[in-house]
Amino acid sequence: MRQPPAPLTSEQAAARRRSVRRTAWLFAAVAVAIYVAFLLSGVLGR
Amino acid sequence: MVATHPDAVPHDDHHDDHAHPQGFVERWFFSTNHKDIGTLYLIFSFVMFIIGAAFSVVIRAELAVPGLQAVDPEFFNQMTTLHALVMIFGGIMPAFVGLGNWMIPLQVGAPDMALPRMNNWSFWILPFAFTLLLMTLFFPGGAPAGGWTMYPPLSLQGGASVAFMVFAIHMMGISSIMGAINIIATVLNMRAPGMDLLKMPIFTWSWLITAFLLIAVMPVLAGAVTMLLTDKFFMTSFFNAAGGGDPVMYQHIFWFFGHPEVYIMILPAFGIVSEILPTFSRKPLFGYQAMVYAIASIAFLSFIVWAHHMFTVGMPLGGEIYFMFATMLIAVPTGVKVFNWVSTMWRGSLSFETPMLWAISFVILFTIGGFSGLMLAIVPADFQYHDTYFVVAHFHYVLVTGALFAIIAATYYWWPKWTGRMYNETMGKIHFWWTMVFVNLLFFPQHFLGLAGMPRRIPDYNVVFADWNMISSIGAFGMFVTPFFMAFVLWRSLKVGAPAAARAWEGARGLEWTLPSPPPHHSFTRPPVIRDGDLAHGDFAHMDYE
Repeated sequence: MRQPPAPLTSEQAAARRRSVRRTAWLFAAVAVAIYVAFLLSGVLGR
Repeated sequence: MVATHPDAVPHDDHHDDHAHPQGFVERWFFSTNHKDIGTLYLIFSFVMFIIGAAFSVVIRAELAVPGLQAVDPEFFNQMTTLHALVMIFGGIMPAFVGLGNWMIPLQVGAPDMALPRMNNWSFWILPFAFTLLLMTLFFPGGAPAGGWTMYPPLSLQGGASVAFMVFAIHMMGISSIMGAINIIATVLNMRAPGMDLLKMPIFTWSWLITAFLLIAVMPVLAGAVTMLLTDKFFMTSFFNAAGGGDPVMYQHIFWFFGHPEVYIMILPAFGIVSEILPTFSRKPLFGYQAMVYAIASIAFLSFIVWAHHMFTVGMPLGGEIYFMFATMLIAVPTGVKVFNWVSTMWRGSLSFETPMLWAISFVILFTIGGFSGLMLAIVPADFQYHDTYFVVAHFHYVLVTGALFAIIAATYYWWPKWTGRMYNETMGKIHFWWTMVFVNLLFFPQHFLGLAGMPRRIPDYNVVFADWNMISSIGAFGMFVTPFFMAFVLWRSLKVGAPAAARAWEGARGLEWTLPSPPPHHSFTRPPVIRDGDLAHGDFAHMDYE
């Protein structure tokens, strides 16, 4: 029988939330950058 | 050692593992729970599969015999276009997102998806997107009829439906990107302690790589259709040759999205099959790390082969040769995967429950689709096959007997976990064999039709093609029954199915099987302690196959 696991401390939970937000914003920015880059390639690349 | 996770037993120190009372609206419209949202995705995709299949029945009814009899050609073109858009963006992709929503947190020991509210938003965009798309059927000019590839100038000849299609695709893309961000954030940040990346279940791995693909290519599609929109309504000339634009550029941009999109629809299927085959072979997955690297390699290669869809458009010989050989290179990691699946089964203690039957048929029939893909990669041969029914046969073997079969396999495999009920094995096997007969009647003759020169997207044809078309249509009509039968099998299991054990399948491994069936509404509210024996893969030397 395994030991009952300890819940995350509030500091650990806050750190996890921060890193989740950081990851989400990073990949959202990448997606927007790709979208804008392809539009710009259509506008400027002609 | 079954059902020993702390989430399986009551705690008195917190209440997170109990579903608090919710009304219907609160639970299903405002849910932030990954299981509920996964269920919504799966139900939505099922409805879309039925709608898309109904469109295909219209197509096959028209093509059953030569001549024009069921629908007029314009409506036929609308059916081919909507069938593809609905099946790809409404059926296959949301089904995989639903499976990912359900299983990824359970497989990595996370309490939920990393961004639960965005998860809700990702899903609820979809019904509105498909309402926008499908309402065009009732417009005076009808629905989009230029094919799912939306090549200009043909696609721009529609009326208001073009704008609706473009907005619908934008919404689907936003939904997919948010879903992908959520999966990446979950896998990278929410794994339980000890769940190293190379200990993750292969399904989670396949979804992580798929999510990167989605982030990379959905904005490309969005860019392409935005430019289509401005060409149509704002007098730009991105793809209008008369205004100095280049319609071939659209094809390059579209297929830079489109080819990775094919892998978006198949990589999670690889993950599913890699979960099911070890379970029913009662052996660890052969070559786990090789499987991960093969999936990553296929994902990378998908970015550098797009123009093999465009050999006949005209390109320099060097370009044709490059894209031909780059495409053939994909056979290497794919071959690794097929080899590893077969090796997983080799000398295993096999049993043939319904999910296993679907998974084995996936390996065989997807490989047929892969081989016909290799044939299409050969430039001189492609000039013969291009835009014929051979291509239709090829991608339906990849997407129906590949992706869809994997979705069905996953549903049967994880159904006892989701619901706590076993389905009737005999009925599951009837579903499988019925589908096997009719899916091959439907799609295999299309190889012969294509090789004989029958073009795709044409409502009428030479009488020389009549016999195989009739057989193919009989297959389509037989196939149309199957989702209803599957729904009946699953509905019946909810009513009278035997209760499922936590580890519903004797050989199943992975954290999800340490939870009771069904799992509590909120699971892994505390990070689980992971033993190697709980992992689907990892340190094999310590796996305890009790």
